[in-house]
Amino acid sequence: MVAVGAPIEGDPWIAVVGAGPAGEAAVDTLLADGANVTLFDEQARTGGNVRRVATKAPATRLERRAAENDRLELLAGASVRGVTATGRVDFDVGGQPHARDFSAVILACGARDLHHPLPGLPDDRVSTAGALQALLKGQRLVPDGRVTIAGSGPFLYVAAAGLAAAGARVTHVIDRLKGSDYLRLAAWGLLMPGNALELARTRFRLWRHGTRIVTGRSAVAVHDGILELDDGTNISFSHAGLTELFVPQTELPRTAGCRLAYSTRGGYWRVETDSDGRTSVAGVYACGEGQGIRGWRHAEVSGRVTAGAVLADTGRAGRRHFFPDRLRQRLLTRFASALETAQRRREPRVPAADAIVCRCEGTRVKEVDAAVALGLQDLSSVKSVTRCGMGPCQGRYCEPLVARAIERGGTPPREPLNQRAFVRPVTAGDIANEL
Amino acid sequence: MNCDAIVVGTGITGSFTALALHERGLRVAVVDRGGLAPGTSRASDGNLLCSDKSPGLMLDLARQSLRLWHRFIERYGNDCEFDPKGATVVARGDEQAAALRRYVDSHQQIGLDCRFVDTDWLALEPHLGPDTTAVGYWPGDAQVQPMLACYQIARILQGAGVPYFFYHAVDDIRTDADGVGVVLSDGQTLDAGHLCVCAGVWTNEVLAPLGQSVPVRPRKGHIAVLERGDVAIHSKIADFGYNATAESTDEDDESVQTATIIEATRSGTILCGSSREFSGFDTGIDERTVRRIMADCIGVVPDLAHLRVIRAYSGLRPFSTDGHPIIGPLPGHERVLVATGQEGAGHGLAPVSGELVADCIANGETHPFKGALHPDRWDDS
Repeated sequence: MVAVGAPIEGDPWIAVVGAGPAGEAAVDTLLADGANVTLFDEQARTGGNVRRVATKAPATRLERRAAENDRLELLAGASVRGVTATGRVDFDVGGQPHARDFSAVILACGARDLHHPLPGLPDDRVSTAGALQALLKGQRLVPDGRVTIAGSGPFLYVAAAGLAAAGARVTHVIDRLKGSDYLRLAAWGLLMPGNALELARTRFRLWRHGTRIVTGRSAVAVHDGILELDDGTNISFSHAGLTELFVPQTELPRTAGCRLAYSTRGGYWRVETDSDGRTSVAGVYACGEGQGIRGWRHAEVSGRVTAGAVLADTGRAGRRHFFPDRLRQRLLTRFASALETAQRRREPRVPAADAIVCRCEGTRVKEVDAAVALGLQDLSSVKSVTRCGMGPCQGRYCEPLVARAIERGGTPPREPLNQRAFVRPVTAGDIANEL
Repeated sequence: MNCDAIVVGTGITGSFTALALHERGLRVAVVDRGGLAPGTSRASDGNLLCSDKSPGLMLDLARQSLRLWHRFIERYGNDCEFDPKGATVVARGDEQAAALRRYVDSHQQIGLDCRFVDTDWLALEPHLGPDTTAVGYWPGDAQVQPMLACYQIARILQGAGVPYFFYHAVDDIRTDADGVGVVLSDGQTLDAGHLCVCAGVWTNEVLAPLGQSVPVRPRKGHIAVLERGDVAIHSKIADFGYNATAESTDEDDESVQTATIIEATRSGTILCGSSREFSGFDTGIDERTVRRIMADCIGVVPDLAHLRVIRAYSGLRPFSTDGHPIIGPLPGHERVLVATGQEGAGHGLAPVSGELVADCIANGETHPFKGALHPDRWDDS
């Protein structure tokens, strides 16, 4: 492994940010064609959300490759603060700032999961299902007591089955989607048996575990360890994981100035790319969930295709025939769109007025609605008068929720939040000392 | 649509102008090419200061405007975090202390409430650094949350039936003896008796269809935001060099000037400024400038060093080449008025700017500051 900050000589290097399925596939393709790659990941271990391993688990395939291969440099535990249009990557390792220049940058930053505003939240016993899954995979933490997983879509079953297999007592899965929604998706399942089998298997495992699966119902409030459903049922829990949707992590593409596009189907901003992952900024590419929420299978394919585009654009001879991949990419995208359409249709029309939208600043649904009623249709305007998105998380959680409030006002949102500098906070003293 | 006056711009100047016209019983329409106050007001720290102005016209206007801020709050309530928290100007070294004493004297002579403090300043601001030698204190100086002020006015006016056309740019302007017609970007035309262009550094873009311009340039500034922490900042803290920088009309295109100004917001974050430079309409963040600002601020309040910087942003002050605002009717287009050029004092001067514009329109008054503020002051004739 090259020392951090060491000058890199010889062939140009390509940066890949994110060591999840998309990043890993991109690295494989780049290495196969003889390119030099630096792989950044914020976590100490590779894998991203999908293939997250415990801190002390044996070396992953990617980590072994990096140890054996001089052309792959793995910077795990490196927080990338920003990417510029010129290919410079600013990152922190152990709190120290570094910068490096690359001939191309592939952003494979993945997705995060969210839930809708709900009266009674925030509550220490409630997180997203993805957060419960991350604690389980990364730290081997199994939630004790009664666990309920609620929200929307197939991920609920995957998360619940994982927790159950690790010994958690998952009493309920509450899925907003109805059986009929899944039947409509079944046609796609025939074309993609992998997805269909995964869902069938996880549901079978949950059935054996004794988990009660409730479809077509949703949580409307949380109070004192009780999840209240829309049919009046109360479910008591010790831990609850709520996941209604996934959204692309677009902070880094924003720092590079990449154009974003609002997906009315998904209700989030994604990075605008061509089919090969080229963003609006030359030399900066986005693959995987950054292009829109399509799942890890799509992420792998798009990682390969995007890496192929980078090789072509940087003038390296390489395989450029991705016909089977492109077909697969198209199928997976269509399936994901069908799922998003179904999820969007089942979203709550009007969230409770007093529910909190912005956890950092405590902004409520009614305050956001008042700003929208004034005629404001861009996220920055709403933020500037409601504080929604001004806190330490900089709108990561609330941006898609405010976008929904604007949509309720009758028009899609005009512009996402502007990204103000410093994605990772550093102290005033450290900044002054960099003079 | 027909009305008495169209106001272009929903920043603080446009907001107060629209309010002043509405208070005089005129029918007003408000237009902005973005959402609410998308330009300079959104990137401001909301200073309402007398402490940074030497005696003269600008200080007179600032005092009058601060009284109008109080009147606004009395009439409409305080939904904009208006807070007369005072300002503390810090001298370091004996020479600065002596100069600060003279400066405070000059303000006292014109009846401003302020005092020179050369002992026990830690009672005013407990975190001032060890090289402090004296401070000046202006108890009446105030702060406002700029966006909330624009928001409060927009809600007042919309509640009274004033239409706001957000996300509508001005594509064309036609003037004749009876009035003004404004064509918006979606093709609709608004007709009015007068047009008030309150577009700050973008004023000349709006005036372009008329072939007119005023001498206003963008002067960029940076602000860094520190997280909520255990460093209590009670007033506006500025170093004694701040007023010289804010008042300078030096159009050096190369240099970046910095001067310390530190304040806490209602939400507990701390804003650190400031910088002044001419770099066109670019609003990119220059990390070197942010570092200089942080070094300056830590020099005045060393305890800030352990707080984290959560974000930084920049904005463009409407700089007028002679250092005075440009307020009044355009020469040759008496029905088109501008209000710009307040530089970094836009929030402080907004109420008085609005009153001036409204008086010109409603009462047909002779402009009270003909030579100093009127846009015709650069005309050869």
